[in-house]
Amino acid sequence: MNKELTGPGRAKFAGILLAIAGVLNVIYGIAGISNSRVFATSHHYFFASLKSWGWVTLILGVLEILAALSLLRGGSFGRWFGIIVGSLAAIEALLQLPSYPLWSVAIFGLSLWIVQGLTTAVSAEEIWQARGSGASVSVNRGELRPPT
Amino acid sequence: MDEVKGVGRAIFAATFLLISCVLNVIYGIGAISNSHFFTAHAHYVFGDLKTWGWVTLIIGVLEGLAAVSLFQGGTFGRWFAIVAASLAAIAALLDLPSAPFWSLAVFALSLWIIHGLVQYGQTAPDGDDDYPVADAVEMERESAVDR
Repeated sequence: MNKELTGPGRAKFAGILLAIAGVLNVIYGIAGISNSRVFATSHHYFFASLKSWGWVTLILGVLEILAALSLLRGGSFGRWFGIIVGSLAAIEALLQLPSYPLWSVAIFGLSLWIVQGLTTAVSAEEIWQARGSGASVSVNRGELRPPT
Repeated sequence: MDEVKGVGRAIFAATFLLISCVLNVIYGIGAISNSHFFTAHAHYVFGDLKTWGWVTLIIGVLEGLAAVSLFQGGTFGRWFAIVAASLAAIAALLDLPSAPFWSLAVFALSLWIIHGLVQYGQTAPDGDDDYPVADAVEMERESAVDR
């Protein structure tokens, strides 16, 4: 059974975007940890410091690359993993905004795009079941139901 | 027009609402406790940083409730979420002086949520790949007629 996500190249698209976000976050994270001069000095965060945000960003970047690899291989694991990691990356981007506002807003938008692609995709398996088994699709609840 | 179509539609809006909820709650708490994160001595159209903190915190909580309702598949969450996200968009621009980039980002996020929720109540166009589940429903109806 085909477990790939449908839509115009959904899985590959989201996977590549995730890989880009992952690479950016890893670079940004390492720079943050080593107190690079790219960042604005004397910034105030809601909590924590540039160094701790650097570590958080680095870890999220690595997780994003893992999700991207899973998605590009067509695994359904990467989808849910990607949604969670992408959401966390979006929130994290705005929390460390003071260090580099424009960068943060860009990463925020990129992360949201990833989450949008992954949440609105539907796996071919779900559709196959709806077509093949006589299942009714509950439009109201947004669910696929087993045949009655 | 009171239906949210497809598995992904409701989950999409609910996920975005959760992100917005977390951001607004953190912003609200930060503003109430006068965090250094915000621009000092900013001038607002009305209210002060503390007022906007409370407004944002409450809107964030409302968005969280809407997200939970949407995850459960309720249609209540749709209208509730449209109202909450609209308020969030307006509040984001009104408290823009405190953190301009942050406000712009949350503003765009709110608009995206509203767009998603309004659009997904409509009937899917035929053969549109963007609406895979709706297409499956359509095919299911056709095959039922054939039988």
